[in-house]
Amino acid sequence: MHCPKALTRASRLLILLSVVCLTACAPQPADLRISNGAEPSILDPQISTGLADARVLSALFEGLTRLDSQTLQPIPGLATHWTTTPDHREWAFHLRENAKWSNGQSLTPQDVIASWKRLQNPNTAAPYADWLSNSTFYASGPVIHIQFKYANWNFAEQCAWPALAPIPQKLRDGETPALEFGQISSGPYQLDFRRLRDRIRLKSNTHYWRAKDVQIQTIDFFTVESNTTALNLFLTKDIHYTAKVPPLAVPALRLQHASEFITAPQFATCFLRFQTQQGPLTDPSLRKALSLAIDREAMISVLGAGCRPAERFVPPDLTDFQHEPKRSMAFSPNAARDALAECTYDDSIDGPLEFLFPSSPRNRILAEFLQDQWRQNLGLDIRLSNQEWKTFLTAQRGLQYQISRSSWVGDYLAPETFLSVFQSGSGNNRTGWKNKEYDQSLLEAKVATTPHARFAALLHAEDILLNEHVILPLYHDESLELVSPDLIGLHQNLRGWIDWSTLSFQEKSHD
Amino acid sequence: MTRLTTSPLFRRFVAFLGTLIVVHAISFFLLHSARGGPFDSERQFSAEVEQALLAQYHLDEPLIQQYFRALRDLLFHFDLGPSLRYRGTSVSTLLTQAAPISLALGASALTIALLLGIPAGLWAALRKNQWPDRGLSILTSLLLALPNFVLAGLAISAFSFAIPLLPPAGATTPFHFILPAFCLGLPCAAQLARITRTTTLETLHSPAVQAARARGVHGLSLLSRHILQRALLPVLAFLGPAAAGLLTGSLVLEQVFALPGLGAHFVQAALNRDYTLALGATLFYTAVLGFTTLLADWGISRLDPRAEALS
Repeated sequence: MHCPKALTRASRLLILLSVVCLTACAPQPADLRISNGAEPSILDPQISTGLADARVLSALFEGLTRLDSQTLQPIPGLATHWTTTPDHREWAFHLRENAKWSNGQSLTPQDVIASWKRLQNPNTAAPYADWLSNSTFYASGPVIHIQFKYANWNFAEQCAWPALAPIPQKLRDGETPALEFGQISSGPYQLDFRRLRDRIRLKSNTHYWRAKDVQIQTIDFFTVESNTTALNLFLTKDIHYTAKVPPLAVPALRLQHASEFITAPQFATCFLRFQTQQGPLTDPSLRKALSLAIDREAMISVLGAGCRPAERFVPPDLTDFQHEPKRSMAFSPNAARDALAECTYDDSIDGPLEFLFPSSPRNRILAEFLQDQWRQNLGLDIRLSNQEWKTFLTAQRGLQYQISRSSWVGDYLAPETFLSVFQSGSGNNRTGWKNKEYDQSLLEAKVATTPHARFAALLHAEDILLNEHVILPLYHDESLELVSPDLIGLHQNLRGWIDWSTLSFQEKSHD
Repeated sequence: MTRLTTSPLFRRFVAFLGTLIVVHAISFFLLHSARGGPFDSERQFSAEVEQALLAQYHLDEPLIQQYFRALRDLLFHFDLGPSLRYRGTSVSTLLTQAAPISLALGASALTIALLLGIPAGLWAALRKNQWPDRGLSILTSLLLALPNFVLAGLAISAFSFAIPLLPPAGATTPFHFILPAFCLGLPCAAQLARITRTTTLETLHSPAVQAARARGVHGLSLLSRHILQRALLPVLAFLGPAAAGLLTGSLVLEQVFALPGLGAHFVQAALNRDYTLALGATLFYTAVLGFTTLLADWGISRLDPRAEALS
């Protein structure tokens, strides 16, 4: 065989293969292009979790309510209006007459009822099934009635979340292939096509009840897992919006892209869990010592952008839920040393404590900072141990740790979404801590008939949690976003909620 | 029939199927022995929901029963099962959507590696200890030492920002593949250049080449008929596994360039405990590796009459 000929043939074949594969995948870019982080697992609103999924689903499936993206107050969605009883146990939603699916078929109250029944069914394996637990619902004419065993103060807000949005019959009956979920939708957009781990293309839904207000015709939700890549795409104007940028790039962005870079508080808390069931950390004094020995301001400067110091578990952004500034978790090295002196723990006899965290560069920085603080302020040498995410979760669930890194994102704007985590018997508790008074306070909040009584009970519960030092709140998250100046209507809020139907592009001036 | 069953190609094929089944079994039990499950998350499902999920995917059955179910579906239905991370989507769909991207990228990278690596290695060998040889030695050391994310970062800085010629990421047009193809292909080109240089130098001093020279064969004829033919044998042996690596993608480059190829599945599926997808990706890689090795062996047998195992 003649070698150069063979090589030329092989090269020709490879070039042909490349060209065929590449030309097979070249869709035109959409009007609005955003970086959406990780690929959504499935576009089924009742099964999906996570913000990246919710961003797409909120454009596809409208709930009975929507959220005002500036105030996060519920506003009419598929329901024209709603009423609730003073005790907030019964709600009635009036479905709009012209509500339609994107295929032109009417969206009926029965669709809502059947969807909610599917959500409740354990076989659906819906993560938000508990939102409808202890409830009965039915339709009467265009009105959907729901009655809860306990007060549900936030149900109108919950109805805006995709989990409670009605879904079409074919999806309910399992007749739609997973990659076609969203082709029949009820929101401002419907699915055009989905290329896994590349993009989800949405096109405007002409049967949407506010279709005439929707100005952007197509949206590409790109799967971009690296924040640096998202930043590059924004800087080259390939995308109009990214919800995440690398924290290291923030100082430069503040200087050079001040008009595009936006940061906003998020309804989320990063904290440490103490394992209180066995070992040295059953002693509250030791937990207190560890808690008071952390200088959060110094921690924020080490971690960089994207966080603000946390001294409570519930983020301080709820206007009705304001605790008195007791600062029980404030940095106090002297008080920390006093607390340490009170406890029986001796690291030379009992062995060093261990801090377990999921492997990531940012978590490593945080862990080393905390280790340094405990060494400096208490003279304790804490051993660091990192594990891959799923292994870490198994260890945390099995209480096979002493101190572990954790975080929690609120599902709706209420303290309950945070405080219910540490209820006795909650699968999310993962500390081994049980407190009857805490559980009782949460129950009192459930049966409270006035907001004042409810919040008083919840504040008491949070005080118990913090005074017992079951957790060590570290910081509340902040978003680090880049928004194109051409894009109008994208407001920052605590939940990263975007009302896709109100977005538009600034008209170019013709000087 | 007898001729078919005794042919080396048939024996290779049967051995290949056996390898696939062994790889399937080892991967299955290794994956399931890792701690944690596919549905573990910061927000834990209720016990009822978790049980429903496990039952839905037969994960509540004894492990050995799950293994035989997976093996039966694979052998008799060519079904790799549903993905546990991308719920509702089959592993076959995920692999068939990602494979064209990885194959395109890998084929481009392989083309770059072949077109740059072999001529560069030859040139360096023919100019031994002169500046092309020394220059290539430094360049190939650099390319082999640089991690591919650094190479990718440098390429993006240079060709997307300093000289804005190419897009920094995405998989929309053929232009989107140029930077990642170079970043994937250049380290392989460096390896090819080094192997080609070494084997060419050995061949140059071989009795066959000396005899050809004595017969008056010179220039291109000597290069193509006598030097390359021998020098390329080790290159081909290297190309089999290298091509499998290139064609099945790279996790880091796919993340940096936001390419929806196969590379991410190999790592992410295992980290997500997406047992079926990780298993499917492993089998796919094994199949590609088997095919490219077979192809390389066939090429060697064509170049070297002594290696007639497959002819």
